[in-house]
Amino acid sequence: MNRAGILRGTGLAASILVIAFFAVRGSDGSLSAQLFTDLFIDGLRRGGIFALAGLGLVLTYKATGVFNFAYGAIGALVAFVLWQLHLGWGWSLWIAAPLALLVFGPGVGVALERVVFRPLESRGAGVAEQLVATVGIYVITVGIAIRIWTASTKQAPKLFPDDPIAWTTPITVGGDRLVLRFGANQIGIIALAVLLSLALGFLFTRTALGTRIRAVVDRRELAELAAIDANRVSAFAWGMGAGLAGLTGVLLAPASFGVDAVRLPLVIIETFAVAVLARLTSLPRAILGGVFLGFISSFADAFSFGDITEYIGLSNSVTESVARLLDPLIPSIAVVVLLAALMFTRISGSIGRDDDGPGIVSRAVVAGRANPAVSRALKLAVILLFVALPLGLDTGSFGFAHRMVGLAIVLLSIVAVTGFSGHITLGQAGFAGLGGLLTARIHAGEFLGLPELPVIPSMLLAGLVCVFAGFFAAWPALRRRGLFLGLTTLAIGLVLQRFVFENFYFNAATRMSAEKPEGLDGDVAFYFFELVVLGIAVFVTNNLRRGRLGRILAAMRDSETASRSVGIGLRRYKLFIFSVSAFMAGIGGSLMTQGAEAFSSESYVAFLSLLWFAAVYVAGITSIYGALLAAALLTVFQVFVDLPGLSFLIVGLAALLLGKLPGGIVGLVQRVAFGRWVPAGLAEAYAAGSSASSSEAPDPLVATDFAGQVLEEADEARRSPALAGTEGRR
Amino acid sequence: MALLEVDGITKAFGGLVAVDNMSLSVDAGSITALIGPNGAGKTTTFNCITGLLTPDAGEVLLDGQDLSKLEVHHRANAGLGRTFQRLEVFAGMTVFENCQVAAEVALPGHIFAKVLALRDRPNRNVIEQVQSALKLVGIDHLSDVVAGELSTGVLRRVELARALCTRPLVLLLDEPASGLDDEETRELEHVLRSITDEGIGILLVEHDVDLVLRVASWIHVMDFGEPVMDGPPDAVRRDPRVQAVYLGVDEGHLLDDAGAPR
Repeated sequence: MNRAGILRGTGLAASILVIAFFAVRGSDGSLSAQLFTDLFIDGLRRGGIFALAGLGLVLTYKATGVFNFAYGAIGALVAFVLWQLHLGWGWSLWIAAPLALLVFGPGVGVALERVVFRPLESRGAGVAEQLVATVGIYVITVGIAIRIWTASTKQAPKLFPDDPIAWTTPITVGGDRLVLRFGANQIGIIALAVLLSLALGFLFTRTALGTRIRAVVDRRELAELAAIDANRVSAFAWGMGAGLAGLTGVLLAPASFGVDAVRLPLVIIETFAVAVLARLTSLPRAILGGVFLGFISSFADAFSFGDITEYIGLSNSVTESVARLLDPLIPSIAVVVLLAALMFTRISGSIGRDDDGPGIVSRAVVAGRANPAVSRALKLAVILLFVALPLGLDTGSFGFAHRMVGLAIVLLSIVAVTGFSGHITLGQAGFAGLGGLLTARIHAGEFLGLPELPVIPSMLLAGLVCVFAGFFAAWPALRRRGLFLGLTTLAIGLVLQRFVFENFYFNAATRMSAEKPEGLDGDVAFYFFELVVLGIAVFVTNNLRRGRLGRILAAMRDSETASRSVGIGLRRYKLFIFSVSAFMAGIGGSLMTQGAEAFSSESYVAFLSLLWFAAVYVAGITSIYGALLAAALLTVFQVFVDLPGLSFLIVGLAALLLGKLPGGIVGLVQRVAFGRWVPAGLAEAYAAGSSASSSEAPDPLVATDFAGQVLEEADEARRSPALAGTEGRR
Repeated sequence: MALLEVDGITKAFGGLVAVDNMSLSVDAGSITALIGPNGAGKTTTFNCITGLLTPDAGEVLLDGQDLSKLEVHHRANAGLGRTFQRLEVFAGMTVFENCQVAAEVALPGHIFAKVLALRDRPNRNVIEQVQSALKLVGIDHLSDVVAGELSTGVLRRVELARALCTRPLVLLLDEPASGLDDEETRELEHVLRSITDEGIGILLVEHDVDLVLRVASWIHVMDFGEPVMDGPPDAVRRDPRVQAVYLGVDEGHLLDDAGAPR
């Protein structure tokens, strides 16, 4: 390990010790060795779970290059299956657990590899498309779980019994004997984690299969040349990854909300922190990171900022309110670690290179050139739909209409930031919720000592606060795109959910009433008020792709390298687009909250960010109509498709299928008008991409990319002494 | 003093020295070429000059101004234009827009205010500049085609026109002739000459040695990151080490693996 690594490791260890020190001080200021011991043992248990979670993620990423956003959802699905077998049907745990964990979980992984990711791989799909696919699978999986088991929370099945085992040690501390208290649960989990880690280590270093995996991980093409079946290795890695996801889900469920289709995946997503600490690539680091996170979260449970300020002697009204603000973060320390790790971990060059590849919308935009007549027809249809809608509604259905318009503005903010400037965002529900919550708080005069303000100024002010949150998302975007930006925005959404929406300091109850603007609180009046706001949002969004500003954003989307090389300083444009987008999301969320006449944290749960992103992607991420269409579709599902979860299923499936069809539904409609289903350049590109062996393939963009890659790899091969044998002589 | 002075650029990736103490200069209105086998460090040199990579040592002076500490876009604004070996076009924009966005960089105005503007008319000077650049590289008939639908050869010209639209003092061209047939290469040669006629200096990385020998006034040869020799085309043509690599004598690389000349 190099010096920086040792420094970082020391820093992590020191932070655990500091937290532990403050955590285990008794109320009289003395250190409690007993509490320390208890927390230490529970830290080991949690560390074991986190390590297993990290191993699964890193294993799949290393072997296949796909970061599995659906990890949490798959874990929850396995937990549901175990619940069904064990608690639902009453099967013995000895049969149910192996079936769920060793057959079903890995089976899901292998199936996904075969049905989804192998075709993507052989099609030469980029990081962006794989990312959308995993988001799609996440949404589908949640849909399936809700379809089968409904949205209610199930009691978590326990792999290990809770029986406590206590052993009084001969060690005496402060007059009391030190007791080692284990739950059988803790022993079981720790043993499982250690055994599995050792088994994986053995597999990788001592077996032929491990060598093959490492070869594929190292350089897939070369491994294939050496007659290693990379597909089988991928299938194995997916199987292992999904198996570990299931184990994580089953182990995490009892300690959290139970088995819940929406919440459990998000709890598992917190373990992404471990994978990021491991820089996505190192299995030993994943184990260390897991143990670190385990100790941090265990000691944090007994820790409070209030205690510290008191201890240091800085207890006054300011520090007390800061402590009250920060203390609710402690149970969600994993999310905080995730966000911090994303912001501060240096990611190795190879991952950066993936991120530099074709952006999330590179395929979509080629198709996005519209036939003017079709565009006009679309525009007219959408305007008619939105304006005429209230004519056909009875009072009971206006809630949906109100929600739809607010949602449309939130989805426009996704189009602006992802479709126009090429930055993925998976945290938009966070900004929307922030806008909604703050509007209600400001209007009620409960924000930072501000006086009560009318609704519309409150809404604008809330939007401005969202801009600051948007800066947080923009900051990592200054350096990264693709996967890491997706992870960071997702983490921001999670932090907002845990820290703000579910925080008593901000949100006195989880449900807070909100009012509509005065004089505009009738059903129809409010609807048209929303339409005006939507009109402004459409106007602004349209300006983001028109004219000089639009060209600069599009240039940034298509190639950051080229943009900088023609003299465009990207930093301010990134900050700009993220703040505009966060502002719009905040305003949209504010309208949704006003429409519902209440803020509920459930309405902005981080999962919705993924659903909304997938829905916009399906409808057409580069198009304003895409956003409007997606809002309409999601609302229609909600109104007419009564079956719970079905809309998630449809949206997720469509996201998987439409990966092939650039431009989503809107792109499709526009192309049909031209009589071609796939744009010309792209058809050739696919042809060239599938017969990828011809590196001299003449034309299309994808083919040149591939040729460039081959050249680059030839260069690297030539330079690497270990590969001197394969050196190509000129 | 030359227009572009590159002095002692060194760049290592881990233990691998990709470029070792490379110096070169480009005069206004002339072409300096950089040749060498794949992986010799030519593109790395380019990236160090334009700022995409931060070199471990070395200086870049353009027209007397020290660019070494500047960011990529500031270097571009100072007058460094470039094209890419691995194409970096704006695939979702038309050919015209590809150039327009480059030509507009220098325009004044509060660009963020445009988000609330009712109209944003294109600047007439920019339009003329783009049209003349497209005409110069011979793709003015393709201006309204979306770049993502075009072939590599055409896209190389798009990149060239786009770089010209930034009004560079010096153009860095990374293998502009790769993928072109003989006819197209001759056209490219003509284009290069028209560019230098306008007083723009060119730094050219190219595998087509015949083309390089015809157009360059000074040639640097690199291998394994190290400068091997430099001189006018005749001297380079006669040099046995260069002949060994480029004129069909298969003796492998210019240097053996220990780095000593063969």
